[in-house]
This record gives sequence, structure tokens and C-alpha cells, in this order.
Amino acid sequence: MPDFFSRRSYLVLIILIAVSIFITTVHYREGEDGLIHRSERLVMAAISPLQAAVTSILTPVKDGWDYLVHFGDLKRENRGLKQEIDHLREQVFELQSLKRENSRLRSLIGFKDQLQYETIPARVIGMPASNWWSSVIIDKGYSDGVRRHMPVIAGGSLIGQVVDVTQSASKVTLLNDVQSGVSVQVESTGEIGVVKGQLRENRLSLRYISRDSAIQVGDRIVTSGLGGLFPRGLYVGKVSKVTLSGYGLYKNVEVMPPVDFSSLEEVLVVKCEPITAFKEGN
Amino acid sequence: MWPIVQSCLLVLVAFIFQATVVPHMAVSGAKPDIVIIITALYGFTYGPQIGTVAGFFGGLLGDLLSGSHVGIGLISKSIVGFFAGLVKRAIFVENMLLTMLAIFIATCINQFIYVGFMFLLGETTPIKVLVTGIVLPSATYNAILAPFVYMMLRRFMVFKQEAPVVRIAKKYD
Repeated sequence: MPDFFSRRSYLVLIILIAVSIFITTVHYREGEDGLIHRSERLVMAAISPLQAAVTSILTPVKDGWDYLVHFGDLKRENRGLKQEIDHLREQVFELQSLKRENSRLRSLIGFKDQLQYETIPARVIGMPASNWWSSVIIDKGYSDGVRRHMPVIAGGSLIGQVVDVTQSASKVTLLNDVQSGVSVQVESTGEIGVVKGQLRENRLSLRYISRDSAIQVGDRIVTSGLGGLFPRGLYVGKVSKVTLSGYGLYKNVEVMPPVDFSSLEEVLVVKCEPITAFKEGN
Repeated sequence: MWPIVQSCLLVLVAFIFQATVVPHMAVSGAKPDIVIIITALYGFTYGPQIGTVAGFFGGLLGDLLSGSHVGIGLISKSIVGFFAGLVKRAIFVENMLLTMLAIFIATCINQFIYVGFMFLLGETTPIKVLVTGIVLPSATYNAILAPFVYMMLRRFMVFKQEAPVVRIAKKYD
């Protein structure tokens, strides 16, 4: 009898693993309206009101705790920020004059004004629940005009894209998710690469930069517009580390985004539809 | 049948807690996995079948909410539930230190299965960084939380004292 139970236990495991592989395959193959994708949206729709409620309760508690713990740091930071504001004011003045000059020059050479996109402000109501995936849930959905593949920005830089939308909430996969990849350009050298997420927080990997490249620490990285998903010129981050491996074809480049992905609160969804028509499913 | 239903209901409650409260409990980026703690505790108490089913259900819910690839959590948590059930007789859950150690190992197994899948998906982060940055912190966090979760769970669990098996050889049948 014990043998029978033991065999039955293995049978249960094998059956469930087979079912898991079947579900994985179906999820990969089916389109956006498939059963598993619909189940994902159903779970998100069910859980997002609870996440919003818990976040609204816990955020003041967390803020209060942070305030108590970091009081000294906050004072120092406040002084530093005041100095930075003065410095930035000077820069804004300088940039405004450059902008005016730029628009005059553009009109002279017949450039079309770059298309300005509308944005939808949203609040982050659900943070990543797993250590392995990096996505957040925001409180704006289909009824607010959010659509799949729309870019999402925070703190003036790209942070991810909308991957799933329900009527009143959406899932945003962040740039540091291991599955995320964005075509970018190094502003100083004009080289094209791909920024990939890493499992390490707030460090992105810039790939396919030639070993002969003149890329340097501090170079700005912006979206290239290639691939049609993201508009050109969205700020992604600054190069924080450049190394060269022995026989590699490419340099190992790390990019530091200006925002902390683990403490996002408000984001902007950029209302731009992808240029490329994406085929659903695989 | 009742332990299966009960484990699934508790896994559902754990999943809701995981999705709503746990993200606010991160310490240096590491988050505990309440679902894996409950899966392992059910495995230790009721054996491999219930552990596997609890893990499967918890993995399914977790993958549907946050997984880019539905299926990895299903497989990893089912395997953890199964192995937790296999050591049912070796783990005396009332011994907190032993339970904490077992939960630590169960979480490590779950995370290493994830690491394996991550490498299949093209992850290039060095294994040392993954182990020190994700696997060990979350396993430690889970081990610390295990006694508290167990205290809450024990009222739902019915411990069966297995009758000793006496084997008498039937030599002259």
C-alpha cells in the first residue's frame, strides 16, 4: 500500500508538470484573446482594487517611517536640493534661449516640429510581488485611453511599457525586467544598441556596442525610435560603467536610469500608438 | 479531499497577501514568498500529493499576476511542494529551528529552478550575484517568517499520528 501511494505521488507530480508545460506552451502560442491571457487580465482586475487599497493605507505609514529614519539625511538633501534648484534655474534660462534659437533654425531648414505626445498621469497601485519579474500595476486602464505597448515615463525618463490593459488598470513591464529590451542610441556617438533589463535593481545592460566604440561613462542614452515601439529621443539613463572582455565583439556597458524602479509612485503613460503593426501570438 | 481544498484556500489567501502587502515588506530589494512557505508547510504536514497540488495552485496564481512566462512558477512550486512532502516524516514542524532550515532549503530550491529558467531565457547576470542578491536574502527572509506563518496555520492543520506498521512474515502460507 505505501508503494502505491508513493507511486501515486510521483504520478501527481508528473501530471502537474505536464500540465504546467502544456500551459506554458499554450500561453506562448495563443494570442492576446487566448484563455490564459484572459485569465491574467481577470486576476489583475480582481487584485488591483485590493492593491490600491493596501497601497493607500501603507504608503502614509511607510512615508512616516522613512521620515523618522532619514530625518538627518532629509535635512542634508534639502540643502543640496535648494542649491541644485538655483543651478537648474540658470540652466533652464539658458535652455530656453537655446530652444528659441533651435526653433528658429528648424523653421529655417524646413524641419517639421517633432510630434508632441499627450500623456496620461497614473498612480502605481501594485509593486512587483516576485523577486524575478519587474512589473507594476497602475490605476489607469482602457477607459482612460491606455493601450498596450504605450511607453511609460517617470522622472523624465522612460521606465517601461504597458503590456496588459483591463478596463481600469494596466500592467507595466519595467526596463529592469529581464524580458525587457529597448532599442536605444548613444547621444554622443550616435551608435545604436539595445538596453536590456537585469535582475539587479536599477542597473541596465547596454548591448551590441562595438569594442571600438568611443562610448564613455556619463554618456546619455536615449531611445532610437527603431522598431516602432517607442518614439525617438526618450531619455533612458546615463552610462555608468564600460568594460571590455578579453575576446568579446562588444563592450560591456551598464546604464544607470535616473529613477529608482523599486519606489515608483506616479508615472505618465505616453499616448502614442506603436508604428509597427504587431502580430499577436507567435 | 478536505486538506487539498483547505490548502488551496490558504494558498489563495497567501497569494492575495503576497500581491498586496508583501511588496511593501521588501528589505534591500528582497521580498519573502509566503506562498512557498505555505506550500512547504503543507508538504511537510500532509505529504507530497497535497504539497504538489498546493504548489501548483500557488504557482498558477503567482504566474498569472506577475509572470512574464506563465509556467515557471507552476513547475518550481509544484516541485518544492513535492519534495517537502517527501521529507514529511523527517521534518517535525513543531521544531521551529528545523522548520526554518527546511523552509530556507525549500526557498533555495524554488529560486534555483527560477535561476535555471532565467539562464534558458538569456539572463546574463553572474550566478554569484543572483545567489547573494536574490536567492539567499529571500530564503533567509522566508526562514525568519516561517514560524509566524506556521503559528497562524497550525489551527487549520490536523496532525495525524501514523500507526506503527508491523510486518509479520508469512513464512508458512
